[in-house]
Amino acid sequence: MTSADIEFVYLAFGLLLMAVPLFYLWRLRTGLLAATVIATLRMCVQLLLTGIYLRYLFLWDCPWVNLLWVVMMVGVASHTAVSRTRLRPGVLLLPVFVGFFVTAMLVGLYFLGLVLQLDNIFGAQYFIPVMGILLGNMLSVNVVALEMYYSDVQREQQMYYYLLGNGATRFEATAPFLRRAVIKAFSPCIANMAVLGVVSLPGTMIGQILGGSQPGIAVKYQMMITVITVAASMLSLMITVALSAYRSFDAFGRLLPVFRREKHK
Amino acid sequence: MLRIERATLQFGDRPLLQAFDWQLKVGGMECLTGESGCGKTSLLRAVLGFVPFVAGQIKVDGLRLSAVSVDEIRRRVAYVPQELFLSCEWVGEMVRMLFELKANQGREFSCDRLLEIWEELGLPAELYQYKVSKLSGGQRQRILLSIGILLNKKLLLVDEPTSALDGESARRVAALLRKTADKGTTIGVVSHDVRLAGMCDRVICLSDRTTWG
Repeated sequence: MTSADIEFVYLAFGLLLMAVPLFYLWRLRTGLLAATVIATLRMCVQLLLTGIYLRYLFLWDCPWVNLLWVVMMVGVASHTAVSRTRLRPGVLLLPVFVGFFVTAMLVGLYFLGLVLQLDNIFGAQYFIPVMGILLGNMLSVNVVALEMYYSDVQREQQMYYYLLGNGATRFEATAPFLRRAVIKAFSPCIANMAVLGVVSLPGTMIGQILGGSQPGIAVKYQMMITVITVAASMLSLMITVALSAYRSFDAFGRLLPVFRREKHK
Repeated sequence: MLRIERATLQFGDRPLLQAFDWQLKVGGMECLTGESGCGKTSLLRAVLGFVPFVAGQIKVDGLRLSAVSVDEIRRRVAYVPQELFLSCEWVGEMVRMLFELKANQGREFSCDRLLEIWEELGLPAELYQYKVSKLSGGQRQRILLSIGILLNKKLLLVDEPTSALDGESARRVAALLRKTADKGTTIGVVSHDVRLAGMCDRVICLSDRTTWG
């Protein structure tokens, strides 16, 4: 059993529901009306294009093309992550790229090969969506954690230098800041995990059920997707923080300029 | 213990301290003083590698300061900054923080010894159960100093330990630092406090490079 198709005319009916938030955004003079209309249109165009290129990727199903596609996704995700922080691309872009790519490969292929026991772990049907979901989660967690980590180190430099000046290793001196960043970034994920299936039915499960899967199979996938996204988010953050330290601290452990210069308005 | 030879520090493009020499012998206690902005704190921080020096060299306990040796130098030094607000919730957590570092694990944290030091500094023992946010600036300053002394390292660098203190408390700090130096700790202190300067073996004014003591 596959999902029921939605004809374009009925898709348009569905999009009419956007009138509800648009009305209130206009009525309350939020200034977000135009941005929301543009975002909705962009979403539709981008997803339609995504559907087209995914269709061809699935048709070709060439492992090298799929891998190249994932590399491109990692590039876009890395650039997006860095641009959402105030941090300098020179400091962060390469570490984020490496962190995302290495983690996506390690965790993703572990899931595809060991958990799903697929014969072809680079097959488009599983490889690309799994990598996509990992990257999406890694992106949001890394943005929050990296911004907080570096902001705290910058703002509380005195504590950093106090610890370092009294014999702390580089890791020990930055650990308090990393701890806070991890708590802030991961508390929502952990809270979410605790209520999955109780407060809401998560997206992966819904997608699978709508696609025709039995609920029993869908919940197993959901469990695994939740676990691998949390694991990948943590691993990618640790890799990124470790690698970005080479560009954000000098050989003496002195903090280098890591934030972009803000343009005066 | 500490030898600074022709050290030149810069702040941006502005020279802060030029061709400065300083030799601090083992067990000595010397004070750096001078006008605000003359480089006193920067010099202390340069010894720990936090401020780059554009010329000269710094040696601590025979080790020449470099990117390779800086971690070892920091392990041999106790550093007490002028102002510091730690993000710990409790004073107990604050005083133990440095003892949890790998470099300091060989050093025993003794609560009895800490309270002895506090008594000499005029700090009540019950502060140990306090929240850090409830401390006054002077109490925080003295607690930081007590941690530095408790670490019992070869070299103690202290930045303005009496800036937030009244006369009696400042006198107690000066006396304790002198007592600590007499027991063999080498102490380099930055201060404008004449009482503290009076307890030192030598006082160096960075502004005009005069020395007395």
